[in-house]
Amino acid sequence: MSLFGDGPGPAASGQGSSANLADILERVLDKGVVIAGDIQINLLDIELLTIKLRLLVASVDKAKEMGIDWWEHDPSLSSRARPAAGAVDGGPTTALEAENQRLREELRLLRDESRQAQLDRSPAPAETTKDDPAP
Amino acid sequence: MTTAQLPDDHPAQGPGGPVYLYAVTAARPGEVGAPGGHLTGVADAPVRTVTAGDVTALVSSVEPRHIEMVGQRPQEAELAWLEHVARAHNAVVESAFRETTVLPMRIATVHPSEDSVGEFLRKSAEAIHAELRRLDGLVEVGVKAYRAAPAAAGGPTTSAPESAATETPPESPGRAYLEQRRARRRARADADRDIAALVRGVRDAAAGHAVDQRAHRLQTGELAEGPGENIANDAWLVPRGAVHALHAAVTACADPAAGRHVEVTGPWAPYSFVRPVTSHGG
Repeated sequence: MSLFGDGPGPAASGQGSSANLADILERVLDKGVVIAGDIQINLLDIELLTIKLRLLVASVDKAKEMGIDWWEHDPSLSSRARPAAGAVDGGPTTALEAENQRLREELRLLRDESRQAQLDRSPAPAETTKDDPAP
Repeated sequence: MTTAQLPDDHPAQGPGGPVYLYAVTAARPGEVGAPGGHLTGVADAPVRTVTAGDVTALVSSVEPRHIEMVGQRPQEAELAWLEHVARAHNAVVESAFRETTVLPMRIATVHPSEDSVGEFLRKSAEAIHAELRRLDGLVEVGVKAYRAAPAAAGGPTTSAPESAATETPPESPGRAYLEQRRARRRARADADRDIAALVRGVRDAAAGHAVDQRAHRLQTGELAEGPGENIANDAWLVPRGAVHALHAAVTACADPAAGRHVEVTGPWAPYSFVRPVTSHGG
């Protein structure tokens, strides 16, 4: 908007609703601030939305056809491309990627927990998700 | 997007319910988030602000049953919902980002309550401020380079005689076959060189105006709507004042007639450059 003024800028009106979905998805799904620490992981049901949404993307076959497949090649997002836990030290891992990796693990734990909880029909304790934040 | 329709008989919950977090900023609540209250987010819930100290978050209420629905519907519906959430998320982030520096949250960051958001803001204030300072005055610009498919419009290389002459049988089928193969190989080598040159050219052009760069995955598949094969998909962190110059520099590398295309998107909030915000418990 104002950033481009009246010039012949690209997408002068901002991204809006017309922006390429792939451009949006690769940013909002894969990038953006990840909250580390103990704040968010304190209500299992709610935290599950985040988890579900990300797992959903990775599990939808159609998504792959549409070209939403970057997690497959991103060690921080994909369980398939992911090296064994703790083996990321050697690679060019950014702090964010490391964080992603750690969150992935937590997500996995949470999901298992919730599945278990659903089976048990009893509220799952959140304690197991509060593992050491230190990598 | 019809399937993205969400049950909205009770659109907004009280502030006690779970909230979806879009972005955080150091701006005053009045400076972000559509003063008229007409800014809506995920599931068309009105966007509001939560402030703690001097940091403000943009949030909207989400209904637990929307969360429960995820993963339970047919794939088409899930994807439509995902698109809705992604677009809504970005629209809210963008509206704030036009006015000030913001940290865009990752999609589907949901807190159990507004109080929890406040707690997060208080505990993370220092980290949020540091990150906002680092990114102050900087925007993200997407630069994608494409090479048109060789088949498109005959291509710039003069391979016309071969295809045109296929009507008349060649003297030696074996030789013709080999020639064809050689020509194809040459064309491919030319294309590879061309691609490498364009990618290098675009990156060199952008680098002069940017402070940082991230290479995104190349876009392929149904969602890749470019004018050819995506050969570079970069995010650049650029001072607001340099966006025009970067745009001019990278688009100057394009030569549509020769199948070389450059697309610029943004400016975006600095999605690709934010670091994790750590909240210190205790």
